[in-house]
Amino acid sequence: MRIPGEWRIPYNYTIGDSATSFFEALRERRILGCRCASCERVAVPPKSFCEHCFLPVTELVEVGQHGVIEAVTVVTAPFAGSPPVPYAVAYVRLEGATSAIANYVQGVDLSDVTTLPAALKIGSDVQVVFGDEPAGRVTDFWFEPA
Amino acid sequence: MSVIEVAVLGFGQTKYKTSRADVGTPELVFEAVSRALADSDTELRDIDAVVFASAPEVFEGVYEPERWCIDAFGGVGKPLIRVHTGGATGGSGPLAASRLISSGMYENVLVVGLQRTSETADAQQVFTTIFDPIYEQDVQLNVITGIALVASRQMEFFGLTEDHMAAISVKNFDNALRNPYAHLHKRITEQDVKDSRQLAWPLRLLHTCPRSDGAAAVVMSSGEKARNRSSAAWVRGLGCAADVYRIGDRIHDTESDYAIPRAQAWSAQQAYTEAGIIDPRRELDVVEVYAPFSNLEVAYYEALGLAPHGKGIELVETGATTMQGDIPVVPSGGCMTANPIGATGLIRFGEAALQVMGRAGDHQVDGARLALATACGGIDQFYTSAVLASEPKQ
Amino acid sequence: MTIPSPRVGIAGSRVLGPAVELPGALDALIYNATSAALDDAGMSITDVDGACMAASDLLDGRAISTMTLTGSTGSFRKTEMRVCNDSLAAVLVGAAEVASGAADALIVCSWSKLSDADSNAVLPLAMEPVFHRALGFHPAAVLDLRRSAESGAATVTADQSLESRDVAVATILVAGDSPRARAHVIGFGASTGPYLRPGEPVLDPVRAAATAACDMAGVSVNDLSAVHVAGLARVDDDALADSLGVATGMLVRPAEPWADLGYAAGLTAMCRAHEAQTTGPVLVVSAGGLGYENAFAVVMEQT
Repeated sequence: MRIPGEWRIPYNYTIGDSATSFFEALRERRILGCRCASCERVAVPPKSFCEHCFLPVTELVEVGQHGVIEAVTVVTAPFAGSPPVPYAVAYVRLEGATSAIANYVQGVDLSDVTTLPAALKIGSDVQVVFGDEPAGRVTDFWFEPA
Repeated sequence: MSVIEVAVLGFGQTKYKTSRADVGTPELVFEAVSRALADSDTELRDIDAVVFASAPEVFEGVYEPERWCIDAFGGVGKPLIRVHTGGATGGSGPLAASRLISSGMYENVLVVGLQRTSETADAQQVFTTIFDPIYEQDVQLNVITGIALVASRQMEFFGLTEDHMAAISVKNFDNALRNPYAHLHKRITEQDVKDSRQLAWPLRLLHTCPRSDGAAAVVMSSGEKARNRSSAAWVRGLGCAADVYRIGDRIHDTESDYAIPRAQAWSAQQAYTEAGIIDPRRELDVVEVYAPFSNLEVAYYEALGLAPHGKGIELVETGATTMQGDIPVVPSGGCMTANPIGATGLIRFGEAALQVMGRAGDHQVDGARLALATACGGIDQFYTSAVLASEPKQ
Repeated sequence: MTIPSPRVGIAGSRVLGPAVELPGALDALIYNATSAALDDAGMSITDVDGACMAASDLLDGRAISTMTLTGSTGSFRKTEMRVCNDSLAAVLVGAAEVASGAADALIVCSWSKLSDADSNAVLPLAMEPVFHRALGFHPAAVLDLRRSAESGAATVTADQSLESRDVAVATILVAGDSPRARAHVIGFGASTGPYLRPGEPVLDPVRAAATAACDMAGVSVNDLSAVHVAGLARVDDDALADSLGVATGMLVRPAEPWADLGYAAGLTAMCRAHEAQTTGPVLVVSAGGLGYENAFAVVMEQT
């Protein structure tokens, strides 16, 4: 015999001051990173410490809204809660940033995944595009070919 | 077999609060780890392996939270193992690290303890799921009702009263006032305890612990490394024991009365034997016991051999376990004044290390040279014990 | 001070499954594995000092799953250690308990009963909630993004889903000089890659773990007789062999390469390697995490 069971546990994830600044800036269509005073790396999204120097980081900086693709995959496998396939996810290093941030790449033709569009080549230029009413969530923006 | 000695080089902890809204979870870990590295005068590059101690990941709401936090302890490129034995997790962390060092596998091991209890709306909802889904989950057993059952038996058989329990609460809250990291900083009276909200008879709010966010970290190393240090806490003895799961199976066993936790006694005895301790009451200078409820602390006095069976209340009545007594228990204020579950046992361990290193600040027990730290998980089920000393074995 | 390399014996083992469904409750399943391993070793529960286990609460469906399992894992009145990583981590910690002299004999066990659970519900929870999970992309894309950064080209995440299986596995570790030892574990290694962030070659953690295990065992990869691989279904033989510096023909993959054995995968592979009775040193590797970033390895040899 089997007894059915399910966990439904609600969460309110604490994101901290650095990530809060990031999401607040998204509402103003700006993207923030943080600069380590020691190594001057700019991490996007920002965090309160630098893992390279292992020192606290306090300086927030705005980065550009153009960047290059560092890694990209086109997903053809469906998954519960995911967007309709196919879709492209990329890590993009924005102007002025040292690290890369993940988001979707829109505006590319994915109808034939056997020949991926040139716009998805590593190193391709992309730009940040914001939706109509940014709400302070990571889904407020996505990337499109520049 | 030549066994490698193990020592603690340093300890770091965060301020404990209901919610550390100012930092994300990896950032909280960074605070504790950077303090532990500074305290132990150790560079990240010297760390050979990391043991990450966090109890149910349903607290953080992230599967395998040690990966998420990896940058916060410089874990990339290093062995990373997460231990989880419920509330005993923070005791299992240094236990695993000690074995990794004394086996010769690694020389310097960082132990990180984390729990973020504020992320879920109701921690008791999490705790209900620790019970067996087949027989017990539906009857709303939880940690509070489980420990209330223990208290009811201590009262019936061993003379425990609300006065004793209130005295423990007052002692621990007073101690916490001297510990800047403690979560609860307030002066309370025995009357305040007795007037506090009843949760499950005989337990009241001020007999229990808060839910805390927090992280802690210790740097452990081989004796060879520690000998060059001006201060180190030497691991003299370790113990670990598990009891059967079902409470009902423990109530009328010949060795068990479900009032004095026997697995704590088994675990402590292992540690004492390894450390060569015969009379813990006389030999130990300070005890950092993992007692999130006032009645449990009294039960542990007996389980740890600080009082004869059934005589734990005498230590309360004579004040022996206060800061002025001959065997202070939880000078830090203990779990009752800060309880970030999976980190809590590591805090006991780190506080015991600080005591024998003479670096416990305002809650230092004068001249402490031999300390015991414990941790407890499940409902009185998993126990760890560690004896730490100012000096290595001769 | 020269420290001899840690070395422990394997006195017995047992793998139950993998199967689509192993009948019985979780505790009965585990008891069947631990008691059969003791039988295989010719030992009784009184001969062991404790248990070291690898288990996942979320997949077991209990917030502290090991609480309800103390009787079946064999840890009652003994030591209990539990890791939340692939079970080769439990072998590593268990071996440390034995090699340090803290235990003379120890049960190391693991299990995964996915016929009771939905592992697809757990996968997204391995993504941090703030910047990644909120996007909602397929968890398998994490590995393909790392592959993309490594290869410098876009990848396709046409995930072949893992197949849910039930498995319970136990082995009995004894001191290296115990007459009960039928095989020895002579090297242990582990390494961890970055979380989610692409940039490091996908197989770096696996290679680093394997190298560390071989170094501790004092053997070169050229001396290995076989490499048993746990999990890593989405990495092909050539890439894995190339990364480890061995011939492709050396790799031994599970009979069902897409079977999801959860944390039990590594110990299952180690017990299979033990059963194979291969002469000479044998490497066992495993890797957990969405990007195979939490890697473990052991080197063993028959006595």
